[in-house]
Amino acid sequence: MSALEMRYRRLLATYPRDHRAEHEEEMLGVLLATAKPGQRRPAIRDTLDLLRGALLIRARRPWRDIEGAWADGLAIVSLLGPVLLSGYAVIVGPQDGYYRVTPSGEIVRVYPWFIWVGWPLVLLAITVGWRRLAVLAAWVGGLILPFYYWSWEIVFAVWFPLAALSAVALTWSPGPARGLALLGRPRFACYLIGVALLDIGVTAVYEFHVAPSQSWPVTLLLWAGAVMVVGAAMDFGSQAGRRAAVWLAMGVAWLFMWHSMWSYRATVAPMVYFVVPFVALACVGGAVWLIERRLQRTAPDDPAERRATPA
Amino acid sequence: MSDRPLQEPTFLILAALAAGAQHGYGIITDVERISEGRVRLRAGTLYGALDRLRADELIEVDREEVVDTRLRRYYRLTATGSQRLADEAERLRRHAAIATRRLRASGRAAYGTGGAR
Repeated sequence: MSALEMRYRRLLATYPRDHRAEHEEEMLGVLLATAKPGQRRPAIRDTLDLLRGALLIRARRPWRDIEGAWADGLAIVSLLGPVLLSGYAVIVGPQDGYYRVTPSGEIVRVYPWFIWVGWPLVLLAITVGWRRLAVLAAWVGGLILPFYYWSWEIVFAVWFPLAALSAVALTWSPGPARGLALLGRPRFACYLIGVALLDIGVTAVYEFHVAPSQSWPVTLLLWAGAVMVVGAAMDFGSQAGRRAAVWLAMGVAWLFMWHSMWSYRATVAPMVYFVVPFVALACVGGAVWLIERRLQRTAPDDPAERRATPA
Repeated sequence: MSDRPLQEPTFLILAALAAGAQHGYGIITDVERISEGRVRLRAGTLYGALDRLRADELIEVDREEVVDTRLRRYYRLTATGSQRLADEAERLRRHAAIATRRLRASGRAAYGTGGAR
């Protein structure tokens, strides 16, 4: 294989897998036929044209047509996201409220409990297997109502990244059932326990007003550590798990950037609530992964490999 | 099927295939010839367009060959593709005729010289 062909192949790797399977050799033939004698590198215009072509082809495809590990990664998110958000709703919801002046001039504290029902309802619908209800509840109860009743800074700061990601995942991915099949019940059980423990921990933070340091090195360390190891927690042994980690890391990155811009508005507990789960998840998931690896060495038929989905 | 005007590269690809089945490199050289050297398709643009045209069922695969160990796929127009090209050509002809008539009436353009005075 010539250096030019190798470089063209690298560029063609940006195309969707099925497109490559069908057209890669053909495109390569055209690219090499139009190359100048002795050319060793793709021309800049060809490079840009190929990258643009790959981008357009990917953009043209509906989400439901995305196959492979990225869609499976979203399926895992569609299961884990609602659990985390429900946990958050259960803990923070009862304490949430704002003051409003009534027409008679009286100041009353309002508890918009219905905002917090959205994600637990999503979780219930997932458990029963009513995916359409779950999708509806995610968009209406989980995203639209909070936007309507809260100030947009707060919505973005504590709710939006994971809520939006989870709603998208529920709507367009293969779904929570697929996510559970990929993740496996033991790992999901660990995750549930992790979220429950965090709920207890965050309650303690609220009750005893124990706030960890909000200094940037600590926050950065928490975030970077979470992103690095979240893959292990989400079944790092499979491509779907790694893709789920990327999706979730994007949500966390958004949260991180938002807090860096609006830190004067940020409260510590929600930040802790959303960052620490990834670290906790990493611990339990990483442990399961290590155990699986150990079992894999002793068993010829590897369940982790069986679960792995090609990209 | 969309009634939107075809983009120029798409129109030229369909025009190239109107003469018969062609493979990717053949389409590129033919389009360059039809456009008198003005449009030079690159592989990314060509295969993006072919992908879209196949999805719209305007073209289909005619046959495949292996030349020098590399796959060469020939494409041809479908009946829908031929009709779409004919409709587009007619639309362009009508627009060109109107433009020509108006320019002649106003006496602002020279014909056969390729430019305005």
